[in-house]
Amino acid sequence: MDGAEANRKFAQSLGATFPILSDPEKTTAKAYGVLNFTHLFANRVTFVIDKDGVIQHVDKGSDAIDPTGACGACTGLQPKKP
Amino acid sequence: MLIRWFLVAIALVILCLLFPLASKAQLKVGDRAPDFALQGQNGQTVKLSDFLGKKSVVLAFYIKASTPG
Repeated sequence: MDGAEANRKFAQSLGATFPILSDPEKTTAKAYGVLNFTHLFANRVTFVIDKDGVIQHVDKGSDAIDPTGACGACTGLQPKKP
Repeated sequence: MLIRWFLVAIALVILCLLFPLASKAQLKVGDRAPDFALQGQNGQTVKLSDFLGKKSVVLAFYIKASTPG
């Protein structure tokens, strides 16, 4: 929901190397069904999406604060070493 | 008294307009992730489709920048 400038400062404060995206029109939040019932902001939800574009894991609310679940799901998606 | 009920009815209509209940259901495991093209913090455009066939993606929605938790 925030503009790129707010996100740039946020990314700087975190030292984030990953993209922090703006969704000012809320179209992506709507498409993923995560818009809060007030339609003012998105709920805290994390999706893990595989290479084929299929959702493999979802964490929401307080579970989404702890990245353990998403990390575990990502590990499961890593190509198996021979 | 009638005016009071009328005001209550108006307030309910406004609330219904402000808080639409018919929100789209949240996507779940096994659903296809809709593509998006959004602007990143450095002005770059990031598309989900850029990663298809290459990398898995963690897409985390959060409430607001610079908020704790």
